[in-house]
Amino acid sequence: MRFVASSILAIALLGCGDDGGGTPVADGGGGTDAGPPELCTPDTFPPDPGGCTPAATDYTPGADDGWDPCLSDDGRYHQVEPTISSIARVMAFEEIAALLFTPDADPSPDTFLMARTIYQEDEGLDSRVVRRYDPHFEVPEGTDCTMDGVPEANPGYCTGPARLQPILLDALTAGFEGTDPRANAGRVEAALLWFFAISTHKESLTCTTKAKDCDSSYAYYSGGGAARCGIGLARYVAEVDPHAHDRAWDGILAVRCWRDLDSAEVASDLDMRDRARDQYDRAVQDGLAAVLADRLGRLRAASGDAQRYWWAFAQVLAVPVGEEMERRGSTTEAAALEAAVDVTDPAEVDVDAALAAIDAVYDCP
Amino acid sequence: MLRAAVVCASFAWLGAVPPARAEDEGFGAGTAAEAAAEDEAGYGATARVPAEDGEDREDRASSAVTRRELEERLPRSAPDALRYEPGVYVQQTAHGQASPYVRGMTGQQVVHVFDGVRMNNGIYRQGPNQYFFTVDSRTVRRLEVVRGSASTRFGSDALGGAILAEPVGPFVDPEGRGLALHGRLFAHRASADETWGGRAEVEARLGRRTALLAGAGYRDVGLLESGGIVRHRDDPSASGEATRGTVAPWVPRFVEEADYPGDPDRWRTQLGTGFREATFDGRLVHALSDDLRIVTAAYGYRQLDAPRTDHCPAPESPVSECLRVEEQFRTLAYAAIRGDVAEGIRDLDVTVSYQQHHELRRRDRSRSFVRFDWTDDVHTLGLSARASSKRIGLGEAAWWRLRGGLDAYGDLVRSEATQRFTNVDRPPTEMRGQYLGGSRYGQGGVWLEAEIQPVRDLVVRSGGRASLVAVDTPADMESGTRAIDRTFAAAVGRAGVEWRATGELSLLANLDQGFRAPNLDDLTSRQQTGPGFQFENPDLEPERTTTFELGGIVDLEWLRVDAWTYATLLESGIVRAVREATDCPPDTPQCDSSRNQFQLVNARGTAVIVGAEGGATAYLPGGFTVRGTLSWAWGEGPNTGARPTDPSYGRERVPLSRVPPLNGTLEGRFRDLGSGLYAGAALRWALAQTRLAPSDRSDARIPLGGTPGYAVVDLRAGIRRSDRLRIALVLENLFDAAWRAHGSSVNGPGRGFLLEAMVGF
Repeated sequence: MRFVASSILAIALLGCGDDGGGTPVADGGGGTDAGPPELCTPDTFPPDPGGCTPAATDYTPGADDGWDPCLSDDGRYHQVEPTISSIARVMAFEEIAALLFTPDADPSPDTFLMARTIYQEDEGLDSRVVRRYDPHFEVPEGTDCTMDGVPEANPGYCTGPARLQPILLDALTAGFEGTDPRANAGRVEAALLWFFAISTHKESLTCTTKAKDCDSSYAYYSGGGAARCGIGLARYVAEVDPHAHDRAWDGILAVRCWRDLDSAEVASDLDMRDRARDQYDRAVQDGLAAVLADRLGRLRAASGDAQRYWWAFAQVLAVPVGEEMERRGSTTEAAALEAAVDVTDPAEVDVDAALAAIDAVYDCP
Repeated sequence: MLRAAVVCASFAWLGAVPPARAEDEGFGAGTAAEAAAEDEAGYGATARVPAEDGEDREDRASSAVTRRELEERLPRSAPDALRYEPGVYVQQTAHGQASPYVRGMTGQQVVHVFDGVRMNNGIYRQGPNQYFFTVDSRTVRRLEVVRGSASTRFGSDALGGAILAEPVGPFVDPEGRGLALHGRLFAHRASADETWGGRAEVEARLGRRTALLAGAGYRDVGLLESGGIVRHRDDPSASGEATRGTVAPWVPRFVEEADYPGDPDRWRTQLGTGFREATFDGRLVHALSDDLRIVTAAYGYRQLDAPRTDHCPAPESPVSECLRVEEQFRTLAYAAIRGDVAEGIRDLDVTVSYQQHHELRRRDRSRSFVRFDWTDDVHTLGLSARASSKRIGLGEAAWWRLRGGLDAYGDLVRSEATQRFTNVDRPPTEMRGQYLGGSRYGQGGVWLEAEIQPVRDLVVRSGGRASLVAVDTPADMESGTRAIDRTFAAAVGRAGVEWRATGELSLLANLDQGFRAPNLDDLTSRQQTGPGFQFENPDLEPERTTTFELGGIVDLEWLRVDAWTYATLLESGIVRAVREATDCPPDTPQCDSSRNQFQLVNARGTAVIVGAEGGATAYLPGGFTVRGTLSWAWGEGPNTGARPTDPSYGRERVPLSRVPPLNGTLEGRFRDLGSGLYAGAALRWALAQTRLAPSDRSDARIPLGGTPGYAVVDLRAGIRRSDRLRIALVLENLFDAAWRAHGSSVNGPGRGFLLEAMVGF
């Protein structure tokens, strides 16, 4: 777990991190805090790749990488449209984080209610969670998750309505009712990170026909952050695996580069698209696994209700990480991960087994 | 009486109807007298204003829809009635909404006037809006469209033009005695949207000076069946996206998708359509003299359960989700004195009015156990007055005269919003409404126009208006909204010249200015939802237009042609622009912490709309009439999509959003005056619109690559037997074309019929 070990050093070097594991505290109601600080990987101190090298087909801004010159070569993300609504949803996530993601304290019922109010703002997070399908899953053409009954029949592809939304609504409702608030807060945190991760992949696909979705793909990872920076999922990944974060940014720029070079209303160079998307998704998935590994470490170090927080978090996030393991052909490791965390008592989580499974599959982003 | 009715019906066809005379139209509209007059005058000709004594003449591009045309075309709404007018293109965001584009502008940028009372209020929304839909087409005797900037006469908002609705009135019978009662019953049916409806009205004539017309109507409109899906122009099927959106645009959704998900050819019935509607109206006219009337009237419109088609469901959302206009109520009441009061003062019209517009919108997301309600109410008091002088001779052929008036309207707004979780027992969470409760918006002005004929066959016209708009909104600390207390003053003018080259040909050249002061929707829409934080601009100034137009009118015994070309320049256009965090107003941390900031700004640079339009009507032997129209518009404006610090800011020019494609109409009709039978056919067509603004490219209502063209053919037939019986039948969309007006959420009706029957007693 080179990335877990290197994260603390990276945060110290960057000098723009937060409290090293928690989240900045805002008032949660659009109050006086200016928002969470972004985490970044500075150009002058790129993170240690740990022996990893980009794939030959990967895009690296400004490098001699075989890609034609494009908009992304200056290392900045150039928005397709001036507005990116997804950013507001990542901001909402950070507001919820300030309210709920406190492993060392029980959020009150009113706090859960406030979190749900934010989660279910008009055009907010829930409105997109319920729409989210996961293009990692193959389904018959025309499978439409918006139709009644389809999500239940295709829970993997229709992850948003079939799996994520029930987790989130059940957790927020149970928390409001005072049931196991610590664990339910952990479930909310993990489910939203899961949502962001698959959103990057879904939006980079639909960018084929709707160029502004590239903006959403970028925003669901970075929250609209400046180059090599970010909030939301980017903040989590940058904290625990700066190299994966760096590679995710290369992936973001690769997707934008493809859409710059292939700028017709409906893109046609699908080979280039798929190279860019694969590069981006590989880094995001590695980052997600790094976050899970980090939280498993915290679970081991915690006790009592804090341990319940990390146990619930790990149980939720282990699902997409395990599915990615299966896509990479590591079914044994996927089964090991599931077995390690799928226990009813937090103390029984086999952290070593889970970390071993992750390390065996995730090497270089 | 017949002569009076004929004369006044001629006015109806020809244009500006002196208000007092309009009341002489006779019971209802479409009387035998009117029909005869219309047959004499022609069918569907573009409006002109040559009055009985030749004093009034058309002085700019305009056209009108008569009651007779309404009764034959059977439009589904007042905006729908304008589909055959040149320069007008009707966009529909929902089945229960429609917004006419006039010369490429709509919504806030077009003035709506009902019987001289301004409908535009301080919360008229940006973009296409639904407000003109609240005019009941069955109470309208005439709709006129004035194209191009027209603020001199109509005040703020008249950038693209003005739409004037004149209601049906009772007949004041100068020879009447005692009480005479007449009634009419209407029934209508439309197959494509399973509409059932009716109206009952009664006219009471009280002696020779007083008459009352009162009516009420109701209709229940079902789901709208289209001719099928309107496909993307650019094929996305190779994209690897296996979603519903690659098969057809996400908007609208169809009932048949559930049963035939893989067979889009069977998708016809559109979700998010249908509504219920009730109307009532009363109009009392009392003749003070032969030329002077007192009019008191009230019109009510109640629309219920009207889904927003593009949000029922929203693109990619579960089909169970819906944003619905639960209630849309408009009430208008007014009292007026109208007519000629003295030898030198004609066409006096002093009107005092009260309007209320109430809207309750509900977004129900049942799968998520959450519901949002928005309630907005605006109360408007109005006063308008206008008059014209008699034509004053200056010699053998020279004369001059003046027209002028004043108007003042004041709005008071109430606005609330709540978020309610439906699976927990908690009171709803109060949110800031779309507007700030307690906001006030006032506008008014004075105007004067002069018309001079210095020599025979040459008329020169000019005029001007001085306007004042005041805005007073309270602060809202919770949402970080500051109070606004501003006034806007504006002066606009117009000038034109008409040369009657021959007895049959007139050539016109006009320059008209328009302005629109920022309203409450512009100034108080400050919130952090959707794409980011939008804040007001305290320095926002009115947007202004100048329209240059050249026109020609040919008026022969058998042929009438009018053709216009124009250029409208929009300066300081109020548009949404990207801002930096440093631009945020003070004490708005939620603005600072947003990753995107927006501000409504007056765009630097000038937007341009150029176009041409016209119509021709040929009156052929044997009772045949043929009419055609053609409209073309092209718009381009500055791109405000970049941040001011971006070097590209303001340099790039892009197409204006939702400018209509080249489109036209063709109608032909045979009418037998003796039997009252008529039959005809109509064609509406539009080419594809592929010239898209950046925002159009991500608009789910617009298919990939643009909106395809279409051609829709209707057949019409009917009979009119005096005032006692009328039956009208339209076989619409004969070839069952799948079609959509550019920018609409709703596909047009598929093949079906419209039927209306009226009996009088």
